[in-house]
Amino acid sequence: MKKYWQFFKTNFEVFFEHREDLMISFLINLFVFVGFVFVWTHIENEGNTITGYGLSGIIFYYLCTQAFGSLFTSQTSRDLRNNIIKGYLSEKLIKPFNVRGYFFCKNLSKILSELMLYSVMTIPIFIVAPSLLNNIDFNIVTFIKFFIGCFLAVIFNFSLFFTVGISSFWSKESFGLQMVVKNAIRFFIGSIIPIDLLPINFQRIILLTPFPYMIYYPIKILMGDIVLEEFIKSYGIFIFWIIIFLILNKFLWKKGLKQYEAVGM
Amino acid sequence: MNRVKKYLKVWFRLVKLEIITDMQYRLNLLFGFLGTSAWLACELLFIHFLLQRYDTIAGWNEYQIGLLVGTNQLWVGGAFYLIIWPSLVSFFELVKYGDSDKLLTFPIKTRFYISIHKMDFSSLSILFNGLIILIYCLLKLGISLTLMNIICYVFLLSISIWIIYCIQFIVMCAVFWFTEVGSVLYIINAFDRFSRFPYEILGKGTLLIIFTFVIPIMIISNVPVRALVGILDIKYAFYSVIVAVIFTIISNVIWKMGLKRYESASS
Repeated sequence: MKKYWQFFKTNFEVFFEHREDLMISFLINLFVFVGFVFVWTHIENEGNTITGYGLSGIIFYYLCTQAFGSLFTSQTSRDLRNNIIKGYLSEKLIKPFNVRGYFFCKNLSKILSELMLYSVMTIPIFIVAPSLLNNIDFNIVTFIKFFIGCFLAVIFNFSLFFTVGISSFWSKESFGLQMVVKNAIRFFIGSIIPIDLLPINFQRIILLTPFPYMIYYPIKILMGDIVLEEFIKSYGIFIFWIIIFLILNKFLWKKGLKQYEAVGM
Repeated sequence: MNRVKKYLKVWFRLVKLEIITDMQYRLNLLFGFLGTSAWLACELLFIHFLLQRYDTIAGWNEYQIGLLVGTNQLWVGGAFYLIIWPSLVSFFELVKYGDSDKLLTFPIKTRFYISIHKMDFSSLSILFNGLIILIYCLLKLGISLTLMNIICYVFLLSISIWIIYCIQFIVMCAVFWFTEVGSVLYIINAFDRFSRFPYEILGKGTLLIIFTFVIPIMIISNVPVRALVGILDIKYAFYSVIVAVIFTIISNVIWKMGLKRYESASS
């Protein structure tokens, strides 16, 4: 376990070394957030009601999609692809650690470093507009549910993007596939529009997939909109999906290793 | 004239080389098409559901906003991701890793070469999607276009593309000072989302001035589309030209300052 802690620690420090770059990235994302704020503010100023949110609620929602953005993005598939097509995977395979464990620790350190940095960077927004904090349900149970939700989202994030990255064993051109997955899930995770603002039939279909649990559910939990009963029921579905992906992941990894050509050896 | 001919010859040769390279990775190209289409589908669904709920935004209905989205896709796919982005990012990387010296010795304007030397043909799917959306929305709105509208649209869209290029070029020049700030190259992503909505969402105050002149997001797609459907306030056409001239001057100054600062890491 100690070696995985070291992987985590080292990668965490590496990510923080590039903090200026991460901060710029966040500021650019914040610009996207400002765009959403203008659109929704105008919608409300025209006399419309933003059902279930109100203006403050919807702004808080979009702010959270930026602050917790690392829950639904990942470098794992790109990282694994580079390791496979350039042959760097070979040296990892002969060392005494689990390669999937290594990539998991790396992904976890990236997610946590971004979560920490981005959360700190949103503080000035809460100072300027303290009323946004009213959207948080300050309750110990809510925070426990939120952390469980985030933890499971991190596991799913890894299993999804690692599975996509495994495709590089069969095709050196898997970059495009990674792009398809990344772009296609944007709507289903709720980062463009909250899922409960979609038509009901659409909602029903999306909520059966694992994607809303990557960002939509954690934010809704934080807003106090997911009661314990719904949480248990919904996250039961999510855990089912995580197990499916982990099994698929393990199966494809074994198959993929048989295909591996170890370029450069 | 001979100079133009020489530059065009260089450009056509580069296009040919890029086509050969891209054709080696046909599957990637296909996934590229699927990926960009998936991205657009998500954006269209967002606008569709938003306007299904709220009818109009700043008086613009779904198809009118569709014209903005379509135009947005034209500059994103037909210029930005086709040439501007791959070329300037490639130069950014070359400077960062100290491999750019040879480019400065080519018997051709360095700025011209670094701005066009790479291409990504998978972005053409964005262009085609944009054209489809544009035509579909025009048909749905029942707008009959005049030749003058189309000429104005193409002219103002070209100005917008030039502004986008200048902004990306200025941002790319940051590499001469800071090599570890690659994220700054993604600034157009922020522009992209903003420019898909009518500028009325900003009201008529300071914000509109800022997003027209300082960060000219709101004129990029809005001005050509308004010219196309014949509702353009002519002063915005002038603003576009003025902004393009100002950004050209700024980009030239920063480029020259950057070159003076260049440390030639590989030599």
